[in-house]
Amino acid sequence: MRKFDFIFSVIFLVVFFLFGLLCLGDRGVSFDENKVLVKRPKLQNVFASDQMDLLETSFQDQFLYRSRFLEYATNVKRYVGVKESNGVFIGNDGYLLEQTQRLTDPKKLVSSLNDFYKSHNDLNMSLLLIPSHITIRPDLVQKGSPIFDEYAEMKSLYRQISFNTIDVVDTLKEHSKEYDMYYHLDSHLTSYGAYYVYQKYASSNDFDFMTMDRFHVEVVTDSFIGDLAQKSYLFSLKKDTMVTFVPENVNVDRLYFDEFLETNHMYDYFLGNNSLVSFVNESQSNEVLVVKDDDANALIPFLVNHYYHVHVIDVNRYTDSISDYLNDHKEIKEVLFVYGINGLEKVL
Amino acid sequence: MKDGVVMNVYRILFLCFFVPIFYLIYYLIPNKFRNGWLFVGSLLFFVLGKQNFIWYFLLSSCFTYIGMHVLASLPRNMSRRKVTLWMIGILVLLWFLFVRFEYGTIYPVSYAIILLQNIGTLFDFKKKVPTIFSYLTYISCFPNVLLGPVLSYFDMEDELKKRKVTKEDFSLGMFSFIKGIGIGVILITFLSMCLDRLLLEQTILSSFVVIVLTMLQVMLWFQSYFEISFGLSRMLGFHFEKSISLHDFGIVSWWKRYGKGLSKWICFFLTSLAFGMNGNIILWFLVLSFVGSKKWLVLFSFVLLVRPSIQETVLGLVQFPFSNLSVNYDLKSYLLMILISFVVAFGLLDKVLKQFSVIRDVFYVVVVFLIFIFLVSGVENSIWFFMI
Repeated sequence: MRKFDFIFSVIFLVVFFLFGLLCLGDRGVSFDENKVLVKRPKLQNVFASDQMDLLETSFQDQFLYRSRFLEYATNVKRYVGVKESNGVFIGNDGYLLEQTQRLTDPKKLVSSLNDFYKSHNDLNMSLLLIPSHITIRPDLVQKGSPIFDEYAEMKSLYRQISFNTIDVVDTLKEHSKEYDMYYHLDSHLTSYGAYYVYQKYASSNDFDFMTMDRFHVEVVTDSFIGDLAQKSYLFSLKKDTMVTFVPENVNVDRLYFDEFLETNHMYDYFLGNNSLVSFVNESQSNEVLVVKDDDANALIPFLVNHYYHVHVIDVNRYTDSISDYLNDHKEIKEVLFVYGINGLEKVL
Repeated sequence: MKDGVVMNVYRILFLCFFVPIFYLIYYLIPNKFRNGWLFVGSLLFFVLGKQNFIWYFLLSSCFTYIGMHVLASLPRNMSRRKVTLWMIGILVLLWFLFVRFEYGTIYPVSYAIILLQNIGTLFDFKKKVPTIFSYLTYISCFPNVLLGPVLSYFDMEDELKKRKVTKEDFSLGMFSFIKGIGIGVILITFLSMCLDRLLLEQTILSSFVVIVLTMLQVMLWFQSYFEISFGLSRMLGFHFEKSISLHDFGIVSWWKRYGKGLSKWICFFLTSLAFGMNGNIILWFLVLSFVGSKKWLVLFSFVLLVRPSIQETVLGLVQFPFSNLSVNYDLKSYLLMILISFVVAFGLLDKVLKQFSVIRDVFYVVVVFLIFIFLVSGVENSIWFFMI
C-alpha cells in the first residue's frame, strides 16, 4: 500500500461527484443528435416509481458535452470491432448504412394497394420502391452482419401487385461504381442516384429522358451531415457534398429551400418539409400525382421537366385522404408511388 | 435489472450522487452515529428502487427478530427445529401475501433476497439475540444486499458493533469498487453485444461459442457484484473477505454460502417457491442442489438458465445436419475483448496489476473514463436478473 493510493482514491471519489454535477444541465434540444432532451423531473415526483428511469435518462441527456462522449463511446466500440451503433451499420470507406425492417404485414399492404388501384383503375398507376443503400452495396458492411434480404421482399411485393411496377435495384447496382448513389452519412439517394432512378422510370414509361450533359451540376454544400450521422453518434466523419442537377429553362424557385442548410434537417433542402407541393412547367402537357416519402425527394426535380403539373404528396406529413385529392383533381391521369420499403407501411 | 428492489448500481444516480455523498457524510460524522447513517442510507437505497418494498422488508425483519426472541426463550422440552420451520412458513406466507397484493403473480426474482436472509438468520440462530437496531442495519446494509443472501448476521456481528476505517481500507475498497463497476459496464456490455450477434446465427459452432461466452459472462457478473459489494463494505470498515474468499471461483463459493445451513431439499423447495415456479428455474435449482460444488456443472446450469434458447440448440444438436457448420460471422474483431474478459474472469488481471503499480494507476484512470462514456451513452447490458 503506497501513500499515493489514498490520495488517488480520494480523487476518484471527487471525480465521481464532479461528473455528477455535469449531469445537472437544463438544455432543451441537442443540435448534433437532432433530438429533444429529457429534462430532470421534479424532486417530489421522483419517488413515484416510474420516474426513476426518467431521472436516469435525464442525467444521460443533460450531461455536458454529451454528444462528444457519445462519439467517444461509439469510437471505442468501433475499434474493438462493434461495427454498429444505435441500429446503424458503420461500413467501410466512411459509409453509414441503415437496416430496413422486415415488413410486419405484407399481405395487408398488397391488398390495400390493389384496392386503391381498383377504385381508380382509369388512372395509369405505378409503384417504384427505392431500395436501401445496404441492398445496393452489401459489400460495404462487415461480413456476417445481420442483413435482411430486402430485394427478395421487394420482388415478392412486385409479383402480387396488379398495376405497373418499376424495379430500380439493378440500375442502381450497375451505376454504383461510377457515382455515389447514396450519401455517406445519410440514408437517402443522392442526385446521381435519383438521376438513374429517373432514367429507369422514363424508359419504363416510354418518354425520352434528358441525358446528363443537359444538366448543370451545382454544388450546394460540401458539409452535409445526414440523419445517419445523427443517429449513430458519429458526428465527425468526413462530410458529404450535396449536388443538384439544374436543367435549363425550368423555374426552380420552390424545388429547393436554402434555409434548411442551416438547420439540423439538412436533407429538407429538397422540397422543404411540405406535405403538398405542386410544380408547373408550361412546356409540357400531362399531369401526375407523386405520392412519396423522404426517399424520393431527390427524384422530383427530374420529373418536373416532363409534366405540365406535378403534384407531390408526402405521406408522412399529409393528413387528408389521397382518394379525395384525386377526386378533386380529375385532370390527373397518372399516379406514381415512390417509397422506401418501410415507408410503404404508412401509406393508405 | 429495471425491476430491482434497490437502486441499479450501474447508473449515474448511484455512482455520481449516492456514493460520494453517502461516504462523505459517513466519514465526517463521529463513530457512534455511523451505524445510524448506514441504516438511513440503506433505506434510501431501497426507496430509490421500489418504494413499497420497504414495508415488506420492515415487517418480515421485525417478525424474524421476534422469532429469535421466541427461540431463545423456548422451553427445553420443545423441538427448536419444528418452531423454526413454522416461523419460516409464516415468513413465506407473508412474502406471498405481499407479492400477491403488489405485483400479481409475476415478480422480479431479486425480491426474494430479504426473505432468504431472514430465513438464513433463523437457521443460524444459536442463543444470543441481537438488538433490533443492529439486526435491521445488517438486513438493510446495502453492500450486503448487493451480494445476495450470503452473509449471515453472525458473520458480521462483531464489526457491526465496533469497526474502524483506515486509509488502506478506503483505498482498497475504492479500487475494488471501480473494478467492479468497470467489469459490469464495459466488459459485460461488449460480451452482450457479441452474444446478441452470435445468437442470430443458428449453427452448432456458434452455439458452442455462445455457451462458452455466456459462462464467461456469468462469471463476470458475479465478479462484478463481488467487487462492488466488497469495495463498498470495505470503505464502510467491514471485512467481508474473512468469511468469503473473493478471488476463489466466485459462483461456486457463492452457491455454497447460499445453501449454507439449509438441507438440499429445503433449499431447493424454498428458493423455487420464492423465485417463481418456472420450468427453467426449477430445473436449474434441481441441478444446482445436487451437483453442489462441481464448478463447470454449476456454470453450465447457469448458462441454461440465462440463455433458454441454448437449451433448444443443445437438445437439437443431434438433428442438425452438419452442412450448417459454415461460420460466416467474423469473430476476429471481438477476440481482443474476449481475451480481456478471460484475463479478468480468471483473476489474472489482479496478479499483473500487483506487480506494476504505474500500469495500475493508468489502468484505473482509463477504466473510469470508459465507465463514464458508457454510462452517458446508455448501458444496454442485460445484467443478470437474478442479482438485484
